[in-house]
Amino acid sequence: MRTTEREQDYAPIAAELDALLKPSLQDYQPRTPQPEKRPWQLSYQVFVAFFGGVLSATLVAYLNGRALRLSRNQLLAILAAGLVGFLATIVVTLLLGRASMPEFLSPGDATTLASRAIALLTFLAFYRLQKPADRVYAFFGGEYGSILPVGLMAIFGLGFVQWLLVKMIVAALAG
Amino acid sequence: MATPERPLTLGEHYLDIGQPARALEIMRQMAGAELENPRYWYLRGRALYALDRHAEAAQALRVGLKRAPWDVQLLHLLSCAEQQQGNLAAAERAVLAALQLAPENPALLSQYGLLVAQGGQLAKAQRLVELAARLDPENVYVGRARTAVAYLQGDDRAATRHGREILTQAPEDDVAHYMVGAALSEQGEVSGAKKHFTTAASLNPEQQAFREAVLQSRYYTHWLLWPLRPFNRWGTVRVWMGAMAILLTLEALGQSRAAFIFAIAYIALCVYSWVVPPLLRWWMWRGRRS
Repeated sequence: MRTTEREQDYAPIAAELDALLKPSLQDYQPRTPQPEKRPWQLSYQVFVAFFGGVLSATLVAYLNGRALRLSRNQLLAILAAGLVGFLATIVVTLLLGRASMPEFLSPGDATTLASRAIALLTFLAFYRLQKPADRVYAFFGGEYGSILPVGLMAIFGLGFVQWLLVKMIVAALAG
Repeated sequence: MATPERPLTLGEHYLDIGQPARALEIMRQMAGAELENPRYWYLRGRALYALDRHAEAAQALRVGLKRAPWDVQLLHLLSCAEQQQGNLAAAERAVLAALQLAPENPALLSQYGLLVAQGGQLAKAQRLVELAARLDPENVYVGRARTAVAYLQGDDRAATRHGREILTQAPEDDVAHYMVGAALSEQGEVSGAKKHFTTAASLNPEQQAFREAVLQSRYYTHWLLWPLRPFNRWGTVRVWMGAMAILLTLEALGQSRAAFIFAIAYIALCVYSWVVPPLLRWWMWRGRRS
């Protein structure tokens, strides 16, 4: 009876061990020490989102995701979230252009506020997707690179592109 | 006449009291038949590992494994040495070889869990450490691995809970104090984190990561950064959203003056957050830059 009970206790552990003790790291490539391939601090991406908008934040999150070695699905999720954020920016801009605003808020201010809010909410999605890999990277002694060069290019370059695209699309849809 | 085992026992004693350099010195004086003893190579590897000379440690352990390919301790330490160098594939081969010999060894399962966690496979890591915990719930090494995996998954509350469980059994576990501190600081509880980091550093002053954590926590609890606590606690995005909500509500209620004062205060806080922290960081770290 006791032997049977021990066997019953052991059987699930043995089955679980069989599944877990299969190698899964044999394709792992050690990280290169080059500074330009290092990820960036996640918290700094919020400034890119705030000042540059959804497209800027998406580019930076995607590049950082690749540096953090996110899976293909996670990288696609970043791009999808960016696309949703961009479409939301267009829709909100269109709706605010037609809505009547309270006296204290001009349509321009409302649009700016809303697009920043959308960019920041999209950043939160990017943050959640990158956070586990970022923690692993930092926990095991990884060093970060500077986001400044890419961040500034994203803010001014893609920020302008987004502004232009939104204006053109909203004008086309409203007209 | 001294037996070959006595220098090894002395070497092991120095390792146990945290003097790996002295242990290594003793082992350098050994020669001949003593070098055929796998225990020699294990202790040599342990000394080199403790001195952060991981490549040399791995080399020594491989020499030992030529003499004793079935030695679980050699394989375990080899896995750790390879992991420290970022050679996760080699580390995995070593730990799986050890697990072939001792499949229910909780320490080995925990080591494998940490290894796959470093490779980004957090779900598998959790299953491994949970299995190790079922096999030996009181094992401190297993507890540390569980705490680490919970932290890496972003479950800071679970990490704090597991870390505190270790500390009830081993109140002087420096690594557990450090991990609880890290989990608390992620939850914005900087004062609690500072206590644990300070304890970890006082228990193990040689560990640079602990000293750096103490400095970081002193920085975040500095009185000059008190106005920025909301940003640490709730994050920049939530604070901005909250501020915009307050501003718009005040305007909607016709309280333009209050809204204006609030807006000025918020902008001042933002400027404060850009200027003061870098200056404070420069001031606090100025003596430590080489």
